[in-house]
Amino acid sequence: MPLTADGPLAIVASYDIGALGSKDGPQVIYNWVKPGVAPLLLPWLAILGLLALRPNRRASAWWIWLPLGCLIAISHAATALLGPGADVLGDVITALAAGLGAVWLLSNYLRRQYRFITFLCILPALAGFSVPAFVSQQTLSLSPEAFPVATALAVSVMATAAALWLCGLICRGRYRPFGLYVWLFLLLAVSWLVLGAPIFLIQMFAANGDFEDFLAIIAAGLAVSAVNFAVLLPFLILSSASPFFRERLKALLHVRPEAPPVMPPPLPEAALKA
Amino acid sequence: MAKRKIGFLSRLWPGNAWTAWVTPALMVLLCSGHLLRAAASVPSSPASSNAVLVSLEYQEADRGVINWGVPVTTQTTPFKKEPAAASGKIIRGVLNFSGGSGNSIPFLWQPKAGKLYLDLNRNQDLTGDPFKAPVADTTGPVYEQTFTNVHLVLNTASGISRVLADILLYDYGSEPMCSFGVRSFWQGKLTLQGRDWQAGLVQYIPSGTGSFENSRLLLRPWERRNQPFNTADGLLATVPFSRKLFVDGRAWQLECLAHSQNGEPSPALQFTEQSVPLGELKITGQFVQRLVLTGGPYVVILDEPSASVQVPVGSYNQPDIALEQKGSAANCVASPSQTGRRISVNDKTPAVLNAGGPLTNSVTASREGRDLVLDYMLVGAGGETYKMATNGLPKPPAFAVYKDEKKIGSGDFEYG
Repeated sequence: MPLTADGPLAIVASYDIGALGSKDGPQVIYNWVKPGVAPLLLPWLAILGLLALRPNRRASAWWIWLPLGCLIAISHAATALLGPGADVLGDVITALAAGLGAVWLLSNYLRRQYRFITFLCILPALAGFSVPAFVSQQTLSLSPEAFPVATALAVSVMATAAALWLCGLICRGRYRPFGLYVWLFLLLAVSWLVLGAPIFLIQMFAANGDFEDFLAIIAAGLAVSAVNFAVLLPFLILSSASPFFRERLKALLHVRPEAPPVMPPPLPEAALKA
Repeated sequence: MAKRKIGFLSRLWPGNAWTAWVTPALMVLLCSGHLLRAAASVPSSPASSNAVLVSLEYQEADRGVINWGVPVTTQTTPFKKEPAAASGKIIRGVLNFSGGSGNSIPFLWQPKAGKLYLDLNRNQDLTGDPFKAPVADTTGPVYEQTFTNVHLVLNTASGISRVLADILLYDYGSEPMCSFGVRSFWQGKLTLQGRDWQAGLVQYIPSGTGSFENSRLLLRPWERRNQPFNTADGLLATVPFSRKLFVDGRAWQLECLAHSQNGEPSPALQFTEQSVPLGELKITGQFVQRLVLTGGPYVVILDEPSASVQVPVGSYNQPDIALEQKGSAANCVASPSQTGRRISVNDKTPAVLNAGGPLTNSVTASREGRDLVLDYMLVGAGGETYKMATNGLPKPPAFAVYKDEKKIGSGDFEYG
């Protein structure tokens, strides 16, 4: 329904039933009340609120809207390309994007001395923004069809947090963007397979599946983790391009801060004299 | 509907099909004593002045006339003789039909190879020629396959009967399932009160006590005999088999008898006219091509009924209705609001049945979050719902949404 429509709507069903009746049925009047836009804006208002935090009171922090805007555009494009049935997938992409945006803006608060504790802080932050964002896209009325998708969102939240944790562990020596991207993709795939394995395996055994089913499950896991990585990628690119967000990512990953450039020692005064 | 000859078939389908034809011959020989006794009890002419006998002939159709869900018992133990192992999963077991273990058919299914081996003579030897199904994708898992033109011989309530079926095997999970698209039935020409009918029997064998309880009686005007039909198409060419039948304004006692025709077993139907008290039933709707009342003392068939008809007194379920007008046809589908309501007909006051045409394209609207959900129904005179009878996939109904007489949205309804 167009968001602007409001008031009584006349609805007519048409079907050619030949001589058994008239093609157009009687008009049905339905009083349509415009859905509120507040739930739709809720996640973005929350991001706006995070930008007001002291560590984010810098112009460069507002670049966070760039990956968010890209992902919102992608989710709308996916819905338009794949049809109305894909709108829930678009909602998942948008929700995960909102969660990642929040984590990037909160990284100063999420970083802890120990890597695992940081992971435990990232997880509720990511879930705390992604899940409400997803629910608000459903206008606070989760249909039964949305529950499997909500489960997929929950798994993607856990997989993303786990991948960030493990990637920090592997790349702790030095920040290398390309290596980081590759490791994050691989770790996301592993996380998805590990987290999704119990569900998939139960289904496979229930369906009396064989090795080919197992391969199909692996392929599905890789495909889903690729979509998950595609949501993460704009934030990684932002972190590569913006020094402000690069430090945020390093904080999340516990990557060793870059050492200041080594300056050549000043020549001894005596030598100059000579 | 194509009628096929046995000799022709025997040349076309060697191996298992050949066995399929040898087996009935053997079974006929073994059971001939019983059949001949049964046949001897069937009069070749009306038993009395008010009885009509119609001998039925085996008939094959191009399309399925009834679907059987056949129970499957799987087993891991190999049969005595099995074909060479094929790649992929092998499913072996037994197709169970009512009528005892002698009616069960051991099978071995090789989905990857698209082969189905049936032990038609029940000797645990499955090395005969298999039935074959096209295998489109040899790499992926096979979830279902259809094996066409499978000839079987089964014990039925009317004796040993040939059956032609397309067998659909599913393997989606824990237990494989089997569905028979049966393409054979028995039919003959019946004349009642000077009117010719196609009368027949569409048997249901997978379950039950071996009687005709789940079988269907084919009864339609003789001029419609070449029209394809299916027991589930809603057009009511068949009705539940009943020994009490009311058709063309008269009540009949119906018996199905074992019969022998040209040395081959075949069933026969005997219609014996009966006298019953009648009551008036008023039908408010139009375009009723056939209306069938069940759940009462008689199965009542009313063809093109007038606004007021006479039917045997009693209480009936809500009717099955097929509408037809100038080439457009529709059939009534179950409506939750109709469940439990019964039609009582007595000989004092007329009963009224609000059903039939004209039909109305009806839509209901409701809200689900940001969405306006529209539900479509084709509604009859009494609020009952109908489905248009079409060949193939019908064009879906459409909708249009207007705001202040300006169209702001339109589309097609999705099935569901």
